[in-house]
Amino acid sequence: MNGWFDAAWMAESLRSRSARDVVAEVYRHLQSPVYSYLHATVGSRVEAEDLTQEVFVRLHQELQRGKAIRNLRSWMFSVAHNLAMDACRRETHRGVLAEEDLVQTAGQERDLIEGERNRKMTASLQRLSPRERQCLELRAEGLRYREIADVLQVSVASVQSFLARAVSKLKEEL
Amino acid sequence: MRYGRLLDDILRKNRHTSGEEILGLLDGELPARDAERVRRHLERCWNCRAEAERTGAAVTGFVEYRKNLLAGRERRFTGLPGWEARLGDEPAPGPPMFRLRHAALAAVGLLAFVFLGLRLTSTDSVSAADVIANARRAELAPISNPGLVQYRKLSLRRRQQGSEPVRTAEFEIWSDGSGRRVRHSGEPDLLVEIETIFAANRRGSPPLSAAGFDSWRNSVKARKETVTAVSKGDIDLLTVTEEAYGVIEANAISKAQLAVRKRDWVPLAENFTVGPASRSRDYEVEALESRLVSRAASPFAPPSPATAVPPAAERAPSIPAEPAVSSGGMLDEIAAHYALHKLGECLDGAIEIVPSVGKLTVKGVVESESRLAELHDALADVPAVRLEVQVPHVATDALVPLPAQAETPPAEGASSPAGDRIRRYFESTGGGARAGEQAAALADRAVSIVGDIRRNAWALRRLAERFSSLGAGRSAASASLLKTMVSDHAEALQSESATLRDLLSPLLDAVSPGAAAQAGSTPPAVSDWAAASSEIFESQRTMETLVHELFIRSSGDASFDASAAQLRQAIAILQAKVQVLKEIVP
Repeated sequence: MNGWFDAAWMAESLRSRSARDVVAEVYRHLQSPVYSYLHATVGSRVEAEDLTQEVFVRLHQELQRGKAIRNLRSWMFSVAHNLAMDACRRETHRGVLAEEDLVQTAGQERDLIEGERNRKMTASLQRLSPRERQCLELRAEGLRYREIADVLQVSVASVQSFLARAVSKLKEEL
Repeated sequence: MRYGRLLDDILRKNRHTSGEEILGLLDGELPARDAERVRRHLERCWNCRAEAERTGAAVTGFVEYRKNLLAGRERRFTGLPGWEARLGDEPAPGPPMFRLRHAALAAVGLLAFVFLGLRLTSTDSVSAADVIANARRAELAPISNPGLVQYRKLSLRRRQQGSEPVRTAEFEIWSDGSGRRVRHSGEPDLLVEIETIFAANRRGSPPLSAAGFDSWRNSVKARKETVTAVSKGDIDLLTVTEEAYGVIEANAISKAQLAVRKRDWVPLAENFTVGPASRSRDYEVEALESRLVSRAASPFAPPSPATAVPPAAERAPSIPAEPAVSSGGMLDEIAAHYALHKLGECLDGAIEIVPSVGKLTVKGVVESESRLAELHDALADVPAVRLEVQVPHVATDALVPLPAQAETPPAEGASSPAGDRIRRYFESTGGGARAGEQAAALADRAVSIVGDIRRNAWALRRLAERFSSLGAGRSAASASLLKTMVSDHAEALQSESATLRDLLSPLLDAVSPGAAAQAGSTPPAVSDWAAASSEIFESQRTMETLVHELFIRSSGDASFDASAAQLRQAIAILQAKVQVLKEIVP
């Protein structure tokens, strides 16, 4: 999937199809991952849906302006991440990252996370820093370290370090 | 200074791996040299290996936890109805009411579109998948009379492209209940070219094959497909058009059309475009003739169909009666692969084994009931196997040839610089008037051997991808079967590459005498069989490209000589890599 939405695919698609059709195809494949990341980050289902729409609207606007997007997957998650951070800043009780909301989300899903293992995992995730959790979520969506670094505007070495620390914290509870 | 470096090296090799390195290795993010070092360290350090397993378990735990969370969310999140209303003329996101209004308008528009769409397509609509599935069944229809075989004659034409002339070839195909025989004639360059294109596009069948078309179609990730109904004379056709998106490489099919006769789903014509738009080539295939002929007058007559089973199968031991480790376990799967291996079905990829919890599903299409029976027998000893193999039941009758089209005949005697060079070689060795025939026969034979090498290299790689370890963690029976399969393919590769070397050596020695001295090769430094198989596959691809370069693309003597020198080297490298594999799997 990663290799699919590359610059060549984009150029070829825009030659033969309208921007709307291209966005529709991207939507079919990336709406769920983008929504999942937003939900995990902002914690609110309604807000995540709204922001997911916003990401695809911005993609459409970008394509209409004729802007070249080198790595569509990275670009989509970058926009999603920035929108999520803006949303968190607007609602000050959330802090820079909706870490509390992540916990709250886990609470809302309590019916699905029964069992000792899930309880431990929930406890482990609460110990992660915002950056560590973001790296973990983006990696779980299949992004490479380079792409995660692009989305979060940090170095690849930092991504490697955040991920290793996150996994180390998860291991402690196992 | 040297000692300092040596000490650094020793310390680096013996130090334990960090959490970042272990995760980087599991994620495939370490540079090759570091990855190899960490891998080697894990092999000898139990502490670090245990740490790596804990890392893997933590990642698995998180992924499963997240999957449960997302499954809960997705039950509520079924997409965003009306989201497209925000696209189009709307320059920037507006207030909620604005969004709602547009969403309502979009919903009305969508309803109208769906309604109109249904009206337009409700009469006689058929999907591309349906057309291809029916065509696959039609072309594999069994023949009730064992004394008859199906005969088809196809024409292949490459359209004129710039200064490149039109090129043509013909295929004759005989099919009976147990297999197929193909004879081709025409310009060897074109035959090699088609072989290369089909190999690059996962098309194992001859041209104008619905199975081959479907195989390519399934290998294309992003594509647009349409079905149109057209009439040629009194024949109604359904044409499936597939267009691939994304990066189109030199030998990739970018667009293909398959025309199927609506009455009985028999494929009658096929067009395909190869390569990127700036350097595309167009090919057309057409059925000229199709009829039932006597088996005695067909290529099936002299050799018995039983020879279709590869010799390796005769040498191989039978599947041991040892009970399976567990239902759907690895022994079962390896035994199923072994059963296909014995039948020679591992070579063309038409049958696949899909493992799932508690069972193995064997999927694909076979040409006849008798072949299906062979498959049943071969898999009878393997527990928990479910067979989803199709056998067609569509009746076949004589085909009506397509109406003749006004075509420009190919230029008489058109040939390439490569063809001329090979012909000159045969003239210089006393071939005289038969030099042209000898050149064509050489190209034909080389392509055939390269095809055999490719099939074995692919089969080997498929095994390596599925079973990366030969012995570790396997029962003795399981490891034995796997080693037998790998050894069979290695033997076949060794024999075929030696045959190719012997076939081409006189030509290569004559055109590039210096190359013989340079033909030595350094075996790759790999220690596991999966890496060795991957190396073999890469070498096979290089060698195939060079055969293509030698017989088709070379634009003059210098280019021909360069390809000849490299080909000699490539064959030697392939042989060295096969030898490495044989040493790993004695």
